[in-house]
Amino acid sequence: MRFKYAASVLPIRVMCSGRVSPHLLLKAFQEGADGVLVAGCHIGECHYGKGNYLTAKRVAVMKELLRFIGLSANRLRLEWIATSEANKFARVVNEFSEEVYKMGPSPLGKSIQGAVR
Amino acid sequence: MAVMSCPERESKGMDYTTVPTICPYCGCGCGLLLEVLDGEVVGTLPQMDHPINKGGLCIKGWSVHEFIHDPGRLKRPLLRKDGALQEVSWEEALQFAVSHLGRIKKEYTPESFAGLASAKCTNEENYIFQKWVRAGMGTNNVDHCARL
Amino acid sequence: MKSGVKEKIREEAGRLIEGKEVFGVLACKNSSGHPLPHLFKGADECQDLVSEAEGRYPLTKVLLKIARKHPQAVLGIVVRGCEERSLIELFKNHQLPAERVKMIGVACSEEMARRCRCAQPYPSGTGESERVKPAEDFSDLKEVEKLPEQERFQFWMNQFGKCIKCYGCRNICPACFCTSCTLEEPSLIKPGEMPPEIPIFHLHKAYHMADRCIDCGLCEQACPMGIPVRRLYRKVRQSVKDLFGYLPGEKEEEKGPLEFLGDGSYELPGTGK
Repeated sequence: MRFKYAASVLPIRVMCSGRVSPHLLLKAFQEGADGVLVAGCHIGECHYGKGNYLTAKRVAVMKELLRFIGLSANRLRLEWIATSEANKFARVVNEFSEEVYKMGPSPLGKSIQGAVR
Repeated sequence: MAVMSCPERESKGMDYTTVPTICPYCGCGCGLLLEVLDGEVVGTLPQMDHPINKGGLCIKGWSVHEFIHDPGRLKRPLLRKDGALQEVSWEEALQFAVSHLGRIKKEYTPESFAGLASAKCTNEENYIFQKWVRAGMGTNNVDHCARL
Repeated sequence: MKSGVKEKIREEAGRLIEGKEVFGVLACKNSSGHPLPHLFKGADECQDLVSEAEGRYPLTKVLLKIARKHPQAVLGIVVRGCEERSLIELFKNHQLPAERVKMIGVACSEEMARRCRCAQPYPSGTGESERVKPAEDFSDLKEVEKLPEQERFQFWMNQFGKCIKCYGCRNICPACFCTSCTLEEPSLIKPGEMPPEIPIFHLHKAYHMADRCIDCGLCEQACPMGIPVRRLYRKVRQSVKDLFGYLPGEKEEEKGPLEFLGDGSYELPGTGK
């Protein structure tokens, strides 16, 4: 079964969402991302134990920081998606894509959104 | 653990103080403190109550201490012989400089010569340098890396 | 600082040195009218010990530097409220062993507390000095938060546009102890690029200060361009307090929430928006 999702998404695979350093989230915005979605395993189901607890804390703090700066906190999103929930993944990605498109290009001025859509 | 924390065992040489000075680089003249630990300059702090910078320093000011003990500093005169730099005595180096600079001055007029002073030299050294270029070499072509 | 208090501190410092309880006491020395950091090793030298009311220095950073070179030495240090908080942070992060530091506490004056907008202008052990009321004031954060998003972004970009990448905010910060700094990581911040990429450069540091900033205000003092960086770090600090109920520098046993994986006791934010 193959689900379709938006073409303007660049998936980056990591072994655990806990590996995603908040500095990498900033790097994504730096490189031109208009929105960043972090999808991790459900709480309690982390393959490595408690990686996703840390992700939750990090993303929460990062969202506050982005909001304070004037980069909308909605550009960063955290979702718990299990490896088997392919349809949820496609749905979330499409929704998020649409939301970010409505928000407009990232004010950091490096967006390639115009080129892709 | 009284033995480990016995201060007397440490008393040889452990010493820390800060020395106020002015940044040698640009013309702003920010006040900074050189941190001296055990007789070696290890860091820089801005002088917080200095009227010019009031605690701020630029990146050059913050790294003022780095060149003092840098291993790349020249300790002996070097002369290029057969394409490679070799250590020579002061006499030989000075003799080489004097003879060639004298020749250039005569052959190509003093205006062909220019001198560039350095922020890492003292004010006195820079003064002697410009005096020598003007009076010794006979030209006004002298400048400083910070254009002072 | 009242003269009686100054005398008491000098006496205490002298006593620690004479009694060989510490090797030296780190405090400011009066050098032709300027308070400059110095390691006092003799009791009679302590006559020149002054408070750093005019110039505040990151003495705990100096202590860390000395301790890294002489790991066995026991040192005394004269601390204000903020410095004690930074020492607690250093102990927590295993940078300094608590048993090798003897603190001589001194409370700040009302004027200093107001200037720093300090939440706790006194350390836990103040001796003779009088504690003044905290002068905490969040009006600077509210001023930014009430701006609409676009204007807020513009405000910050105008401020960050002044940055000359002097690394002063990092160099002077008492809570910054990493030997390998994120701000010098070539894959994140391009080395030698001037001016730095804004606002990313400041956001990287702001995130790092999330559970470490002790709100001493030295960063803003050290910024030669007058960028209100302290506001940014205070905001993240406040966010960590609101989200996890944690403030750096308070209790020595409590680790920062971003330093460990998690046990679920912290309230997890809802996923998505």
